[in-house]
Amino acid sequence: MAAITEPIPATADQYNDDILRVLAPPSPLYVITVLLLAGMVGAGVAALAYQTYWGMGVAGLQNPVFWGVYITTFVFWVGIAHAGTLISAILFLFRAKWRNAINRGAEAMTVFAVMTAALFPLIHIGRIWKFYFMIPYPNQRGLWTNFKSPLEWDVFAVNTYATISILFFFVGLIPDLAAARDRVSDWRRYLYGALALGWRGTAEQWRAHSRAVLHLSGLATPLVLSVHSVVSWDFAMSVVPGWHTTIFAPYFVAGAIFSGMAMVVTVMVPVRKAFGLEGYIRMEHFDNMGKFIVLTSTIVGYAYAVEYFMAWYSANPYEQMSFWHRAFGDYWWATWIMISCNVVVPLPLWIKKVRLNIPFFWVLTIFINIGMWFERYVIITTGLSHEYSPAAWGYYTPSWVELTILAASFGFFLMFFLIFLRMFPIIAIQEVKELHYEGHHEGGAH
Amino acid sequence: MPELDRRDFLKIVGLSAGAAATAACKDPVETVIPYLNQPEEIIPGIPTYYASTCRECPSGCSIQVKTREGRPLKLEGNPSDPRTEGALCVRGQAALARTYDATRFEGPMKREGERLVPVSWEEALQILAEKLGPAGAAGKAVFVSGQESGTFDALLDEFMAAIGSPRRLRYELFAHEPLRAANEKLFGVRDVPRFDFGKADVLVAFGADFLETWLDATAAQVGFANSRRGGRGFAVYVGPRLSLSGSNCDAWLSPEPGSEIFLALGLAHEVARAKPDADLGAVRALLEPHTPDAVATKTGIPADRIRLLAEKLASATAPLALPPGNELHGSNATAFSAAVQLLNYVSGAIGNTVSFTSPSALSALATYADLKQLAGQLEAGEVEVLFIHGTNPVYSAPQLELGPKLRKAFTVSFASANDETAAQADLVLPDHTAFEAWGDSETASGVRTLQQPTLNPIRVTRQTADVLLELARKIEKPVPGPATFRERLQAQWGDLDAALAAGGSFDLAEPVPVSLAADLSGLRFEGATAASSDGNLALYLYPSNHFYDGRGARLPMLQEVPDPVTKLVWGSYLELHPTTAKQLGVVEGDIVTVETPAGEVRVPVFPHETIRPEVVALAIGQGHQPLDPTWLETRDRDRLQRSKVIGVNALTLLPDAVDGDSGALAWYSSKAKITPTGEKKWIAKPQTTFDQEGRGVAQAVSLAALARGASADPEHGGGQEHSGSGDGRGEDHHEPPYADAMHLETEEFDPAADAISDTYRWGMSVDLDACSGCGACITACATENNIFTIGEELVRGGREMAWIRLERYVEHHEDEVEVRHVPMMCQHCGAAPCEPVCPVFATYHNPEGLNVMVPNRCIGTRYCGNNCPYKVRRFNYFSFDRDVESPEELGLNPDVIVRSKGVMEKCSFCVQRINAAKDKAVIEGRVVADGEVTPACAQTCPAKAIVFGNHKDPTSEVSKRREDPRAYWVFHHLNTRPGVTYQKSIRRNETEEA
Repeated sequence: MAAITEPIPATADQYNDDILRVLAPPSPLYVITVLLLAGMVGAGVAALAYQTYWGMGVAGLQNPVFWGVYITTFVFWVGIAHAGTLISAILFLFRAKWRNAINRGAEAMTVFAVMTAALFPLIHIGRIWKFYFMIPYPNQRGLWTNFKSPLEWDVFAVNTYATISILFFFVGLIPDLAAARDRVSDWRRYLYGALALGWRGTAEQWRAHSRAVLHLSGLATPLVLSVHSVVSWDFAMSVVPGWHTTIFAPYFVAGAIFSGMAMVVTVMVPVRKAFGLEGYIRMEHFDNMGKFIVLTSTIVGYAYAVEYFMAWYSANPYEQMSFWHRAFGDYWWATWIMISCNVVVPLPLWIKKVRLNIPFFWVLTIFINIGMWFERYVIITTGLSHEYSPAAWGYYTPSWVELTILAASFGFFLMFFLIFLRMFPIIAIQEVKELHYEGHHEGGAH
Repeated sequence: MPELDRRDFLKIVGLSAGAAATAACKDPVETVIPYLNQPEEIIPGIPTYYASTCRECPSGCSIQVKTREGRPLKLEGNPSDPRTEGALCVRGQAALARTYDATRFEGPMKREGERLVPVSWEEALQILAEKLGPAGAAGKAVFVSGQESGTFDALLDEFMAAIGSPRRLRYELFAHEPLRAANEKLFGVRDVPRFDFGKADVLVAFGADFLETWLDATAAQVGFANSRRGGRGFAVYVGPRLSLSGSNCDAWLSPEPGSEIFLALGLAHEVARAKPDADLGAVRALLEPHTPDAVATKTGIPADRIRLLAEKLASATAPLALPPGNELHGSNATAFSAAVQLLNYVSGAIGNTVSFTSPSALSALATYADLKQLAGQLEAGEVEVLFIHGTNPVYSAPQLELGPKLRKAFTVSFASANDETAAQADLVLPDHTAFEAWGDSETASGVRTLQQPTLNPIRVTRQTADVLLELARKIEKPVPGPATFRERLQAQWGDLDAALAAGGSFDLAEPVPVSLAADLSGLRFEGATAASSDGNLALYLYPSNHFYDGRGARLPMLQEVPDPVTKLVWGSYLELHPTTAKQLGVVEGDIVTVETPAGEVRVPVFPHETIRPEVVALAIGQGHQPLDPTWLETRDRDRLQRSKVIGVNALTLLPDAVDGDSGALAWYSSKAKITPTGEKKWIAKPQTTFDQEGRGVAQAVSLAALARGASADPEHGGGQEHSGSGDGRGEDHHEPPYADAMHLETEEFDPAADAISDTYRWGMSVDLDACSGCGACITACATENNIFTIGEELVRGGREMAWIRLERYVEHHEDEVEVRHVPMMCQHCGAAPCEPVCPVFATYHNPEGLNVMVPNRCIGTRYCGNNCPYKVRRFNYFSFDRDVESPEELGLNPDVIVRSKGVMEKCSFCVQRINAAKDKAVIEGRVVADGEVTPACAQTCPAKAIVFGNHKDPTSEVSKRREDPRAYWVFHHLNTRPGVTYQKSIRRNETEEA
């Protein structure tokens, strides 16, 4: 990485100053943005209330397409949530040091994405007020949950993932919370003080802390693979042509990392600019994330191809028809958006110059986000709309309620992210410091 | 005063807050109040059945009304009725809704300016008595009724005689005038004969929709299905559009529009030629010019085909030709009917499958010409008081513009709900509905059915018969005999209680022999001519299977059952052939104007292949005037479109052209001009394709292959046969996937695995050869299982709720089409894909093999719906029960839960009936016998296509049908092991010997 020549802060104290600068009073623009996002969330809540009062019929869902935008968006956000853990845990275990500058942001993204995702199964069910029927606990109803159901697996997969992500995020944050506590003098002192759990920075605490991070990484690593595999089984375990396929687990995991990485770039570029973090989130990060995106894009593209190949090779007419319908039927537009955005658009990232051209790269990632949302939309709607019984084919169009709630999910995610930016250090101070000192030992690069 | 310490304080605060919170989120308490004085015959929770008569059409089928706690809930055909054998049609099953209709008249109404306003019975009768006295004395009162028979009919005669004005008109839109006139010319009997479908082995229907509305359609369905069991029978349909009846025939001949009569004559000619020894008198000479070749030129039907069919008719033991229904009544209607009756005569059907009995109730029906005469009398002021009961001529005879004419007389309507005629009345004296009233009828001679009240009148209505009796007393011209209608019935029937227990007396009258008139010189056989306003497409109006003459259109449930041919709902659609659509430059949903010399309507088009290219077709029965808007002011939603005009009244397109011989309106008499308007309607289409893409949902086997043993056909691996007959009709162009695995192998069927119970594995069998696609099962199911009607908008949005989807598929065999109907309901799979995916066990497999749905446990993930390959699960997108208008809730079946928003539902195999039968069996210490449980669909099926029973009982009917070589499972390769086995329909080939 010798080619990367941006300035690295000279002294360790500078890190605290740079990174904790975010704790200064927010600008009016920031406040307006957060309020706007809160307004979007409010619109979503209103739409949900409307839907809860009248019934799912206010969504566009119809026979035979019983799942639509909500499940699409659920899978989308679960996918987004994957980059955080990948960056934090797997790259930590692989000692990929470049992750240190972006891991906090990615972890925060994970937590908020999981939070967003977890709302959708609830929004999606017909009787949201009975959601607790899905939680297995001894109850007076004398009922139990069905552990054969992939949806029940989802309950566990998402909850486990949320728990580990939050823990991981929080444990990593403790030393920085202490640094923030020491820096502010208003009410936030008490907040940070409480959250810092009495961190003093003793050697013993540091030892326990690094142990905890290591163990949590170990726990989180399989989740990167398992959570989205489980989510993919929501589809793969069914008999629906276009869903019932063994490639789904790796295909979904790759897609999740693909979309997650893209989202990291989408979110971090403006943050880097706004907070002047160019010295921390450097070109090498974009270069590496670009490589990840190209790799996963290729895997996803391969999966698309294999699906079509298998449809043809299986000689299963239902499967063939389903895929023909996917590419050339009612939903051709969605399919071609998906293929263009996920396979064609990322191709320039093979070129290093493109990866280092941040505005261009940023625009690409937005297309990738769109493409990955459509990937789930295509899988869900084309599969369901064109199943076995020709008399029961249909065409699903999302309603304004669904689109409002979809927009609100972005508002929800970004609102929390923005609040996080102003409340907590966006970069893990101790980790960049580590990098700094190690860097000095290694001669300025690694 | 004791100290209140902190802990106690907190306890109290906590307890009261908790109590308040709990109370706030509790469901409202509902109380069950027992009877203080329990009425006799009523045991709460136990249904009571009363025999009665269905009055949805003139057929008057005997029915049994299931009541619970004094409310009728479900209608079922009376098995004692020899015509229907316990079946009831799609309209009959929906009939109860009339009684619980929220839009019924609350009580008597009188005219005030342009509006009808409520009035008391006393005042109403007083007003009427004042008018009737002088009018009756002057002979200026007329009673227009629908087809009536029995005691009420006699009473009407006596009443009109008593008041001094014996003028009556029994007006029905389907009055069979040409058939009656033809029979008079041929046999000297101006009547409608009885057609014995059950006996017929070769049937030719000349545009009679005998399975839908023509004569006793339910009886015809029963007989038709009975005559075809085991691959017997051969039926041909003649007409420009393949109706539901046509689609159940084995061949479809569509002559040039207007030339259908010549086909009948050509067939008669050939049949007569094949019987050189028969003494046919003058007939031979009459038929002389109609050689197959001459007919072929006129009709466009190849002469060979005519010869072939004539051969079949000539060699048949019980041939039957059906004279045209209204849809083919052209300017030559009587001649056409006579031609068909001649065909019946020469083929020996008269006295065999076509028989005359003592004058039937239909013989007394007025003709269109009679109604026209009345219109003239009204116009001329020759009528002062006009009674209208049970018929709606303002709607059904728009040519006569009766509305303003009715206003010239003092018109009294007895309608129980508003209709076009009642809206013009000066006085409305609402009658009870059929389920609140006494009555009897004798439509088929010898079959006398009784009708009795099954609930207290819901509204302030009175039985018309009693109103008339009181009225006569009021004007001091009493009707002789007992003073109430109930007593008159008693007098008529003798032991009324015994008769009520049976539902009537059911001895079909013996036929009366007839002979052909010696002089047939009055017969002129001409093609139908058509009036045109520079249009070039023959306009073909047909009676609707669901709405009959229009009376069914007010029942939302019937609006929502997809039409058996177009599969469309809630509207009128102009049917035309795709090539015609192309020529006109229109596509599905484009709104066009249809113009004839009589009028024009705007209607969306629906191109489909089962109609002749030169013809456009439109169903009658829609386009009713909306209800009084004041009724709707109090309602928040109009999902069922009660304030809107649904579709168009196609009858307004008919010019006032009459078939001179019979006085019938000539329906098939116009050419229509079609002009695209550029507007478009987004059509609600529950079924989007008629092509089953070779997926083997609806399978068929040819008779020849069946005879060879289709199951063991080594060349072709299984049940999907490939007949080698070489004419192309035997080939199935679409090979179902996994053809080699499609046949149901007995060893694969494993009730033991599918149900852990030792005794029961419930299952169903659907014989597609019998199923006509009439849709009676759908309305029966909806009534039994509280399935809500949701309205056009929601059907368009894909939210249909019907548990049975009657799929219609069209198969193409070179130049011929074959239509197949498949009732698709929950298959209660042994290995149901919906079960494992439910996270909360809301759907699970019960020990008896049922795939049980528990709505109260459902949270609405809808995964089950996704994973159901048959797509028979239905989701409650809204709380449809919110739209229930009082008193509709009284008609809900208390044995079946009313589902609210957010839960799934589906066919339960009528589990409430299974449980009732099991309870009974347990008390009696035995197992449920075969045939003891009958779901609503199977019960009402006129074709007995659906059979329900226990697969673990090897002697049960379902087990036997499973062993049939025609048995198959839909989507067999998915290994869902359905509890429903289908039996392939049988393709009877023209060229084969049965």
